[in-house]
Amino acid sequence: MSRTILHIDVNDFPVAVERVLEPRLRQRPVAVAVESASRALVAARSREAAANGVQRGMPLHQALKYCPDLTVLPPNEALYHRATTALLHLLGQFTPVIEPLRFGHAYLDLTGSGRLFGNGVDAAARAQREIRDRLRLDAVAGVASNKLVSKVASDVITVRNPQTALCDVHYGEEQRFLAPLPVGYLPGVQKTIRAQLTELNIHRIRELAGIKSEHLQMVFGRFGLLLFQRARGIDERPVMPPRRSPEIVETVELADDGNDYEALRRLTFALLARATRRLRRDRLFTRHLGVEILYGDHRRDTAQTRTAAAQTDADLLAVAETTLGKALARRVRVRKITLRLGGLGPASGQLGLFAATENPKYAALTGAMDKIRDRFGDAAIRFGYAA
Amino acid sequence: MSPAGAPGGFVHLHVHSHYSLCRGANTIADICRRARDIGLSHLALTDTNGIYGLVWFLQEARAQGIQPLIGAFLQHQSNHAVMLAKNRAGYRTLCRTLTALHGDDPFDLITWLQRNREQTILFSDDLQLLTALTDSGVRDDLYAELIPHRQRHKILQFARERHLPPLASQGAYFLDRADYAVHRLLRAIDLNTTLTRIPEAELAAPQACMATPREMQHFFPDCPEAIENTRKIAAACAFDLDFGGAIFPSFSGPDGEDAQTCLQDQVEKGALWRYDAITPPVQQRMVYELDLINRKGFAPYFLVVADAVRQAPRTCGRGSAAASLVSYCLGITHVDPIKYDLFFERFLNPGRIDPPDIDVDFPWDERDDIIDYLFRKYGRSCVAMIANHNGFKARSAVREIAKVYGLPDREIGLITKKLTSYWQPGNLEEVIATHPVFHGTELRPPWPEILQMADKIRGFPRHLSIHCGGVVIAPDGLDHYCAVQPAKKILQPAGVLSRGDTGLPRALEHVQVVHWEKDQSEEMGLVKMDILGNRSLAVIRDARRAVLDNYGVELDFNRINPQEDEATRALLARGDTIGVFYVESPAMRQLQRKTGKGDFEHLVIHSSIIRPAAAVFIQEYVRRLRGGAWTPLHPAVEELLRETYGIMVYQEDVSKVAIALADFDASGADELRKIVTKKNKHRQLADYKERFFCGAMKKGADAEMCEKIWAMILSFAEYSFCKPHSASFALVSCQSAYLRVHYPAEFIAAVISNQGGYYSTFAYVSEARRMGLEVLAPDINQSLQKYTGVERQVRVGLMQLKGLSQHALETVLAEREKNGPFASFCDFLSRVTLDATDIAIFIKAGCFDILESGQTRPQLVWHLHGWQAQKKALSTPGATLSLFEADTRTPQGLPAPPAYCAEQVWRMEEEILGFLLSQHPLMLYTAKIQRIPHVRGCDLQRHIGKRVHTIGWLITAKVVSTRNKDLMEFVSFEDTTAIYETTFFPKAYARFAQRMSNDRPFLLQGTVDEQFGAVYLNVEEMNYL
Repeated sequence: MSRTILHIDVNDFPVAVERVLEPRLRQRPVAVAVESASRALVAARSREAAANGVQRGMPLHQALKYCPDLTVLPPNEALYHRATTALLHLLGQFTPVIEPLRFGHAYLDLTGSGRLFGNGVDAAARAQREIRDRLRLDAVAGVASNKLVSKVASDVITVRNPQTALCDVHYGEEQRFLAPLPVGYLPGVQKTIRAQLTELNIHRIRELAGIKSEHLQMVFGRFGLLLFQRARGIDERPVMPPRRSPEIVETVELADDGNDYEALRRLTFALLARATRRLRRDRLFTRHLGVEILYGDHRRDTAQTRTAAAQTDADLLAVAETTLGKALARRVRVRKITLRLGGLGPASGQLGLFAATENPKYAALTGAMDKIRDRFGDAAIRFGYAA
Repeated sequence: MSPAGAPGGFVHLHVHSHYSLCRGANTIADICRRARDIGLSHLALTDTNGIYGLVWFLQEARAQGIQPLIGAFLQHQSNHAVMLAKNRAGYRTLCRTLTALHGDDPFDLITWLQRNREQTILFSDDLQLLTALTDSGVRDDLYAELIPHRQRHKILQFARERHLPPLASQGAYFLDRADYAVHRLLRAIDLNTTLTRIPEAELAAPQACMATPREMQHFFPDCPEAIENTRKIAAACAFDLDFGGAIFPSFSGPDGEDAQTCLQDQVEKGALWRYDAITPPVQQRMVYELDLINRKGFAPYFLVVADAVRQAPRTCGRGSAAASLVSYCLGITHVDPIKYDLFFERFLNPGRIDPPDIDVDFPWDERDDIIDYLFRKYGRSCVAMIANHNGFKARSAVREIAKVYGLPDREIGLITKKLTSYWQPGNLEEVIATHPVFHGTELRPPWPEILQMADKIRGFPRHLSIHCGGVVIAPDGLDHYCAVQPAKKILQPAGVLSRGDTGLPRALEHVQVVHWEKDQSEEMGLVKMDILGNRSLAVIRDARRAVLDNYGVELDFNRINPQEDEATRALLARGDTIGVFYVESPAMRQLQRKTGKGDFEHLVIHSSIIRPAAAVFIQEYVRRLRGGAWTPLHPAVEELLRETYGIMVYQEDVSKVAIALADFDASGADELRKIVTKKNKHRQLADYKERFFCGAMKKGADAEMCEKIWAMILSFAEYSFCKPHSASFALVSCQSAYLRVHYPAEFIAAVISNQGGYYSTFAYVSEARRMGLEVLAPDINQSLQKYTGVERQVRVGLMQLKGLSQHALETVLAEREKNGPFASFCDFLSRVTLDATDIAIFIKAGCFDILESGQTRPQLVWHLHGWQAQKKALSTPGATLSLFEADTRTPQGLPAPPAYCAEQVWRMEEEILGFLLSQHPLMLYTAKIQRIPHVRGCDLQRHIGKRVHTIGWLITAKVVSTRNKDLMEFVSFEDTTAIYETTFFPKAYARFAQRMSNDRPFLLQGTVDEQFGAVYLNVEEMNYL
């Protein structure tokens, strides 16, 4: 039985979301980029900016040269998160089988929903309408029998047919639909592969489809087989709802960016205190501690350390400090520190509630501190450090 | 005897200056001043692992009336100690120790010091080191260093147990506690970390400042002998370091003759080679020069330079040395100083104290061989290169500090991008507050702090690098004079044509440098010889070699005189000189064209007048040359400046005018010339001005005339050439012009191959086409590594293929050399083992187009993949030999795509060659160009005074500032017919500067202007085509 897959794509999602909040940005060239970074790249841009030659991934200074009246917005990930959650929530009424991609993109498997919402095209049109009415965002939609073709269908609208909003590729028409398109439309055909295809004088999917599988494998190895299938519109991948591994995350944003190591260490320990408290509340142990640093120029560094099962901050102080030291690879001022405790679970096997490494004194101490914090707040008591 | 007499009170014996790289927080001058202020009679400078600032220290200390003590803080791995020299012998130990510390591998400080301490005093608070030394029986001249803030009680106890004398010290890294912040900052910069993450062991204590003797006595109430010992040591180490004059290698002839005889002999032989007959003026000059050289004892120096020069067939002795007949006869320089009336006193005169300075250009790719030769001939212990002290400049100081403070690059860039020459010490904040380029830049914290700190570390040395060509040779070993340390240096590729190797960069080699930069070396009398690289000499060499190979013609420029060659003169007079040494820049070509002079004498003038010092007089010069009326500055200099139309053109014109007009003697006039070019000259210059005015007035010059001439003299503060130097250069220019006019293909191929010319490869390729040459694509059987030219064709060399590995290039050339040309693509694949990416580059560059004319390039790419797959299959076990034979046959059944479309071919040329080869990029716009009425570049002179449109591709551009400090730009454009010059006056520049780029064509509109026969377009509009 053929499947019905819908690919929903809110073009230039960050810009689109900002425009919902700030209608004055409509019809203006807008780009999202980190202005403070030295080699800031354009992360997203509006159609108007694109018309002036601004491309995603282009250095900001070049973009400003092409388009001097470009409005540059800093990335606001929290906002995009909220908008994505709303979008997914809305799409959830059409099918439980949703695979969110990046911000503003999702695959929906509508195969089983025909009874409720009609055929794929009807459902897609309805989804678009609701996104427009309730979220005030414009989404394009590709409907096809698999993920590959539905994605290409929506991309074709974005690139070639901005007036339309929906592209429907019938079952059995996949290869004919793809044939005239440039090879760059196929997922996975990025810079290197495209350069190799250019060397072979292969520019359109049609030309690619004319090459035997063994020849493609000769050049591209295993990916050759995939290319062979994709050029013919074959894609068996199912739509996969996300699976999340549980972890405890605590984040602090610095009032002023800073690189004073003492201050950073203090903040990390405070995060650790909060995170381990959640551990103890849920009666869990962690085996994996990660620190992520977001610098003032929006670059990130991360480091992870495995540890024996632990539950109190006293047990993890040293680990947290070395992990922070590892993560802090640059000198640039820090904006945000994120601490993650992963590998959560009960203490291992027969060792009882506390792991062998744990000092029972610490357990008592930690219990007492928790009580004080419950009554007087987190800042009421904390560890001090002798130099 | 010390200038300060016997040491009194306490003496600082462990002090670091900013020459303790990224450690010390104060300059030597500040330290010496402080030492005087706190009443020190003696002072030791002990920089970490170096004597980088020793010479300045000796001078500053003496200026402050303090006896300098020489030493260094030796730090290696976990051990450290201070070593002070007692005398010359001790100084030698110090130099040897530092050299070993930097150069020996493995090196162990303790083991070294157990054996090498002659005539030095050691002290340390490193207990491991002290224990090891005392255990091995070292007692004399060894002290335990007590530093108040560093476990001094423990060390005192140790000293008493071991019966070591204690020594009071402060281990000072800065003058005041406030400077501790500077020290910390420098450490953070050095260690690439933040202020809060510097490991403790890398920091001095905040107390490590230069305490007063009184304070020091307070620190040691329990141990007065520690203070007493500083005085003892100071008295023992007081000596004056003086090498007694110039240091250069000794030289004796093959049969043991002394240098003077040897020199005389060589010069006389050389004179017979240079001149058909020795005329009285030659004889006279020879005797005069030899006498002066011998009296000054410089004979060995000349012989050593001459010997180095003989190692390369083609050189160009530059600078003032070309004024010397001795240099000319020795073959160091190549311009006849008598024929061209070159001023010998500019080079050597009886009153001049400093040693002569001979600079010689070698072909850029042979230069390292010469340095190598000197190292081999005189031995590593006697030869080193001069160091450069790379320090913090305005931008780098601000940038480095801002990084320590953790600012993002972009924010740093906003400030540093705009920081240029405006910055004087102390005024940075003011500049940023008031200067227009900083308009709108707000200085939020921590910027004010960063700028303050930047002011403090500006000019501090940070690390050593190699001077571009200065070599010093010490007769009896460098360790008598200075410490030496290795510096990494990449040897440049050697010439292919001259040597038959493939001309690729050779391995990294460790070259050693002395601890001093040019000025300190010179102060101490180390005579340097400048071995410089010159591309044009290599161009001439390669082109001559090609002419010999192609036509069997041996061009001997000793017999053929390009200066007398009509075609060469005509070429120079037309300014048709792209690729010709020194005459190829647009400004120089315009000057040639305006004057219409192609003879050697005028070329010498032009080479000099184009320099910034005299460039302001160019207009006037051209006017006079073309017959405009002029009166001499003063009758006394009329004759002197007649050949340059009454204009001071050469450096030595300053001295000559001073002599002729104001009765200066030769050395005084030479001093004047030197002072004019110095930076902080005002005080000295005032004296000379007075002397000059007095002298000139006596000769009847009035005040106004004096002022005028003096202003002309002052213009030589800018960079200028002396006539001997100009003449040396003009000689090379003439030779390359001769090659260009008679052997254009060989010449242009050599120009492109040696790279580094004024223009891009693309511009030279265009020029080749305009010269009527055909530029051929690279070919697997025809191309060499370099470009090759023969008859009317230039073939692109394999060196042009971007991304091609060295290995591939070498392999292909070697295989072709050994077994002949490749017969087919299959033959190629079977004969060389190369990476597929390299083969793909050959294919895409069209290297197989002739060999495999039946197959398209994409077909060959398939073929390559097929061959690779087969090879892979063969490498798996079980493959048989018969399969192996099938390997090289054209595989069957592979896809057979058509040839690349034209646009793709162009794109690949752009990608692999870096420029469009199959046609001029403007041809891509033919349809558009045909629709626009415009004037061709070659027709511009027929539209003088008119407003026209032109089409152009930007070739080169130069921004200059007008007298009102407005910026304007001279830009050379080309179309398919010619290169033409344009001017963007300030208004046009302001409008279009942002738009300039050399990767797309422009439509220009402007008025055609003419000046002395040179045509310009004054641009009013500029748009993308």
